Order: sequence, then structure tokens, then C-alpha cells
Amino acid sequence: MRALTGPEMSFASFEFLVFFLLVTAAYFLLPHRLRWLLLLVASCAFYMFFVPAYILILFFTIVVDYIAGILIENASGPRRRRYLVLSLVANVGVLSLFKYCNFAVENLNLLGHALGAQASIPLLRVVLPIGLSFHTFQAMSYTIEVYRGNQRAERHFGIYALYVMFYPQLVAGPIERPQNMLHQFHEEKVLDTGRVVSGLRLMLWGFFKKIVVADRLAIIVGNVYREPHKVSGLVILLTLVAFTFQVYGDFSGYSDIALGSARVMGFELMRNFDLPLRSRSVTEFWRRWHISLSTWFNDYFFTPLFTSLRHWGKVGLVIALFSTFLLSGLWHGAGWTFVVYGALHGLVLVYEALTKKTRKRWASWLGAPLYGRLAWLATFSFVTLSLAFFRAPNLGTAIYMETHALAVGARGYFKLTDADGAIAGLAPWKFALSFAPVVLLQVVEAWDRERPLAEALDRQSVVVRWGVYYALVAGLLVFGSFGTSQFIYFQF
Amino acid sequence: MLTPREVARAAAFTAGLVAVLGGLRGGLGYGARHVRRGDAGKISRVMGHAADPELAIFGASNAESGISPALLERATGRTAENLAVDGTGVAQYGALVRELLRYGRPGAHVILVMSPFALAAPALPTAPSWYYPHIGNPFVYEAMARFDATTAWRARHVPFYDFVVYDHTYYRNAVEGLRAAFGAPLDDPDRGFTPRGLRWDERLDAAGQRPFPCVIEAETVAVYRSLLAAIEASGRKAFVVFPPVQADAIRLLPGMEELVGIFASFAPGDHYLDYHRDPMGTERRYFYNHTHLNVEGAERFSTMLGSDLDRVLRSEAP
Repeated sequence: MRALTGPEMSFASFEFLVFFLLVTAAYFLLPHRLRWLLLLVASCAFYMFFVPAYILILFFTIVVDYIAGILIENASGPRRRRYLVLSLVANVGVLSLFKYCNFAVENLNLLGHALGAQASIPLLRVVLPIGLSFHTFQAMSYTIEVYRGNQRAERHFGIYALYVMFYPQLVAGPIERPQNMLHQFHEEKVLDTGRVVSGLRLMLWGFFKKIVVADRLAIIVGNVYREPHKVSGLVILLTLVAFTFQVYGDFSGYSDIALGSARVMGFELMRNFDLPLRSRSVTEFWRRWHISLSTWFNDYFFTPLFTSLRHWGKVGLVIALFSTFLLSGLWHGAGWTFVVYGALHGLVLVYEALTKKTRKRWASWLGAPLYGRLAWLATFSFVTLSLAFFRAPNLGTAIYMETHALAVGARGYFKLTDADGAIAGLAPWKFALSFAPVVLLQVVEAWDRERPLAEALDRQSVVVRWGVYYALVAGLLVFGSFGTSQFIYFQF
Repeated sequence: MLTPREVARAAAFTAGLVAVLGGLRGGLGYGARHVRRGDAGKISRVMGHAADPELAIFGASNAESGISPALLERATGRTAENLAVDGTGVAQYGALVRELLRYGRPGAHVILVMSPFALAAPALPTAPSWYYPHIGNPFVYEAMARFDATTAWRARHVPFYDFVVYDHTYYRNAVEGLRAAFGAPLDDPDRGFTPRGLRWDERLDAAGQRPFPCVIEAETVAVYRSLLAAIEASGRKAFVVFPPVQADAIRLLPGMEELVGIFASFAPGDHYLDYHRDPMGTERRYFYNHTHLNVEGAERFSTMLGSDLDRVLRSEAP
């Protein structure tokens, strides 16, 4: 099984720009009563750019969850729970079949061969539907919220389908909640230039993060992960850092484009990133990174599990935390590298949960500023090292990267260039230049945190404002790395 | 809906953006099209009709580093220029030949230099940043569309789309081209010849070098035949030259004889000049790898080629 990562309709593509302009223009030209239909058709078309037939999978889960929502609302007693379970089984079943079935079969075959079995269970020859984990989780949040009584069942089939399929967040989130989205589809949106400008600005910044930051670093990361034995430990360490910023630029850039393109039409999606790489603990990191997924797991898995285990005290907390992150790792992909990624984060979260008081004492002993810096360094280092498991094609490569990045005393560790004078396959100046946009990104985000840039920009004269926009567009075209890669999270 | 004032602001913003990007693209594009040195310079010289030699040498890296125009000139008494572009196959450099045929002097000769890989069909274009500044030229457009029709079409017709295909070499060329256009012209004393002062790479002697069969793609053979027909139709003549290869290459590149047969069919008679089994192939001091001559080899080969060309040209003289 492989993830579909074709270039058909990435957000960072010419096709998407044309699509977005046409759909947005048509959206505001149409009367309100027809807009849901336009968005639904557009979303279907957007999804069908990848593998057209897989629209049927989406259609199946949409029909099941739509009916389940109404049945749950109308039922009482144990039947409500039964309908919810049926809906969850359908969703998890689709997810398991397409995403996890072959992983399970491969491991069963390995186990069977180790035990002397001759035959193998054949693998399924299917392509992973793009964004499957995202829209399945979003669909599940709907039936769970209806079951909990937090959301009325949606009677309008088209609107419900749009809730699952809304194209800005269909393939890589944010994983929305029905309370936030469904009512927005019923509301009549007016063309608000302030909102349009704000949305376009966010999209522009998202494109910068993706095309200038992430895709430039992707070249280094790709070269080193392909042949890690050809570079020194220091280059591997720099590559691990590069991947941290790549995945951040890639996914937060995607999220900005999603939020921006929805905002232009008047829809507000939930914020998915809040400067996660400035976190001072891994717990804080998960409150700031892929927020829609973290809160999903918190609301629908961790909290119910912890509640049911609360009489076990700290053991219950450990079990709930660890299993949540193990599952979160698996959510990202069906592979042992993702299991290890999730397990590592689970272990550190357990550690942090059990050492809250001790760490508070350290903080008062060292002083808040020094402790804060050390805590940030420790968190950033852990996140960077753990992401090797996220990126590596197998455990062997991940372990090789980790061990060589940390072997500071090894011979030749500090040798930057290879025999051809290149670093990670690039001329030294190109290697260094790939990190320059990261510095700009960090400066802008730090500035934005102190004094929101959007507001500061709005107070400037039109010459300054437009000058900034023009410079960003020109910078995108000149410094962008085009056509190199699809969004990383599309494969999940 | 938008108020007239908002529409006016949106129009003004868009006009400003188009002006800024247009200025940027215009300036950079002008520079990139006026660079006169290096491989990009060869392309822009042809596209700018600045190259018009009597002997125009086309091919890939083995031609670029293996043939000295100065030595051909000395031997033949005719002006020569090495317009070979590193890494490119005929599908790309054929555009340069066709443009040269369009404007070049009548009676000039085109020298197409072959290599063991000349008949392969690369999936990707080499150095699009050198070619895309000239995408308005129909031959360049056709050449690039052969690799990626969508990108070529968009680069030609969608404003500013060509930025997505450029890498840093485009900007470097643009700056150099602007300097050349507005300052002192940067001459290339070697006229496109790029001598390599390298010694034989001894790593190539390592035991266990695996044979790498010569690739013959019908599609590329057809491109050559079509190009040769165009040369003939223009009233010019072509020489097809297969330079010396290091002797081990005959063993390491199986299928060479079939390749040679096709090369010979491109230019029958004395217009096919085959040196691939020349005795200099047995001496490593002339090569830096199996298919590329170093500066010493280039000198010897160019002298030999010049002499042979002179003989043929004299025999054809009225």
C-alpha cells in the first residue's frame, strides 16, 4: 500500500489557484440557497483530482454517519449507543481496511515465517485514499457529538456531506467539530473585503511557509535520508533540525492556506498551530502542534479512558496518556516508525505528568529565565530527534540517523563537506541559503507574538501594506522551490 | 457586493502587482537572454542571432570539452564555434540547430557530435533555466514541450508562470547578462570550448565496473533524422562526428557497434567521421573518464578532426 502523493491538486499548485479563484468568485455570485451545492460539487471535484473512484468511500461513510446521526438523535437508551457503535465501526473499518490492513498482514506474515509457516497472506492492492485519517476523524466527531447531545443531527444531507468534504480542510484538516462548522454552512456569508484581505494574507504566508521554507529544506532532507551514510554526523544533525522546520513549514503552511481560503469565503476554521517550536515542554508542544488532532484525541479518547481508569490513580493516568500517544503515532501512519514516534512522545508525556512538582522545584532553583531556555532546548531537541522516526522509511534508518547525529566524538563528525565540496548534495552556499527562510520565519513569528503583525500592517499606509504584499509574492516566485513535493500530511 | 471604491482598489492593487512582477520578470528575463558566456550564453547567442559561424558544433559535454573551435579554424580556415551544451540531448539542443538554420549564413556546416548516450531519451530536460527564458521561440517551445507539454504551455502563455521552473542559475545568468548588456561585453576567448584540465579518474579502473549497455531509443533516432533532414532542406550540410572513447568503454558499453551503425546512417559517406576506435583511445592520458577527453586529448582530437574536415571541405569546394 502506498500513499497517493501525486501533484494533481496540491494547494501549492497552479491548478489550485485557478480552482480557488473560480470557486470563490462563483460562491459570491450565487444566491445563498445554492452556495452549499457549489461548495459540495467543488469539494467533490477537488477530491476527485486524486483518485476519482475513492469518492465512493467518502460517500459511503457520509451516508452511514448522516443516517447514524439522525437515528442517534431519535433513539433513546441503549439503542443510541448501538447506533453510535455502528457508525464508529463503519468509519474505523474503512480506515483499517485502507490504512492498517496491509501493515497487520505484513506483520502476521513475518510472525508466521518466523514460526516456520510457508504460506503468506496476500496483501491488498489498494492505494491509500488521500486525507483518509482526517475526514474519517471529522466524521466520527460528528456522531460522537450528536450522541453526547452537544450537536443536533444535521437533517440537510448536502450540508452534512459538505461538513465532511469542505475542500479547504478535506485532505489535511484542521479536523473540525460539527459545533464549529455546521452552523457556518447555514449562515449567509457576505463579501467582506476585510475578511477577504485577511484570508488572502494568511494564504500568502502559508504559501511562503510551504514553498520557500519547507520545500527548500525538503531537498536537503531528501538527499540525506536517501543516503545517510554519505554524510557526517553534524550534517545528519543539521538535517534532523531541517526536517523539524520542514514539517512545521509544510503542515502549518498548509493549515494557513486552508484557514485563509475558507476565510475568504467567510468561514472560520479552527487554528491548528500556535508556535509549537517555542514550547517548553512536550505537553505544551502538543497543545500547540496540530491542535485539532490533539484536542480530538483529548476529547474522544484520552478523557473518556482516563475517566474510566481514574480509580487507578497515577497508573490510570500513565495508561491513558501512553495509549493515547501510541494511537496518535499510529494515526500518522501504518508502520513501526510511527508506533515508535508515538511511544516516545507517550513516554515523555508520562514523565512530564509524573514530575510536575520536581520540575517546578528546578524552575525556582534555576530561575525562570534560565529554566525556560533549558526547557525549550530540551523540548526542541526531543521533538527534533523523535521526528527522525516520523520521516525515516524504516526503523534502521531512523536509528542510524539518531546514533550518528549524537555521536559528537566520532571521527569526522564535524566534517561538513564531502569529496565534491558539497553539503548534503548541495553547494555550501545553497545549503546555508536553505536555512535563511527559517530565520525569517522565526523572526516574523516572534514579532507576531509580541505585536500581531496583521494588525500592525493594517495600521500602515497603503504604500507600505501593498509593498509588503508585493515583496512577499515576488519573494515566493524568486526564492520558492516549486514542484518538489506534495504536502507531507496529505498522505495521512 | 463590492462597492465601486473597493473594486477600484482591487484593480489598483492587481495593476501594481502586475507592474512589479512584470518589471522583475522583464529585467531578469532581459539579462538571462543576454548572457554571453557558458552554456546559457551559447543558447542566448543562438537565440539572439549573435552566433553565426561557418562550422557550428553541437552536442553534449563530450563535444563541449573535446573540440576546440580555434584548432578547427586553424585547420580549415573557416570560422568555428562550439555551441555544445553540457548534459543536453538532441531533443533540447536541436532547437538551437533549427534556430541557427533559420537565420545563419547559407553554406555553413553543422557538426553534430555523438556520444555513447546520444540516442538515449532522457525523461527530464537538462537545465530548464537555460532554455525557458527563450520559451517564446517556437523551436525551444517544441523542445521543452517534448518533456512537459503542460509546463511549457503555461510558461509561454500564463504570466509569470515561468518563475516556477527557474533555479538559481537563472538569476545568476540574469545578473551576468545585465552586466554584459549595460557594461563591457564579456567575451569568451574559447568560443564555447570548455577544456578540462583533469587527469584520468583512477577510480574508474577499479575492478568490478559493471557494463552499462548503450541505449537506443527510436524516438531519439527519429529526432536526429528529422533534424538532419531540416539541415539538408536549408541547403547546409551536416557532419556527424563520433569522438574517441577510452578503449575500456567498448567493453563497458555493450551495443556500441549497433550505435555506430545508426550514426553512420545519419550522414553517409565522408560526412560521418568516426573516431571511437582511434588509437588515442588506448592512452588514458587523453581522457578524464571513459567518454570525455581532457585538455590534452581535446587538442589532439581537434587537430585530427580539423584536418579531416579540411580534406572533406576541400574535396567539395567548387
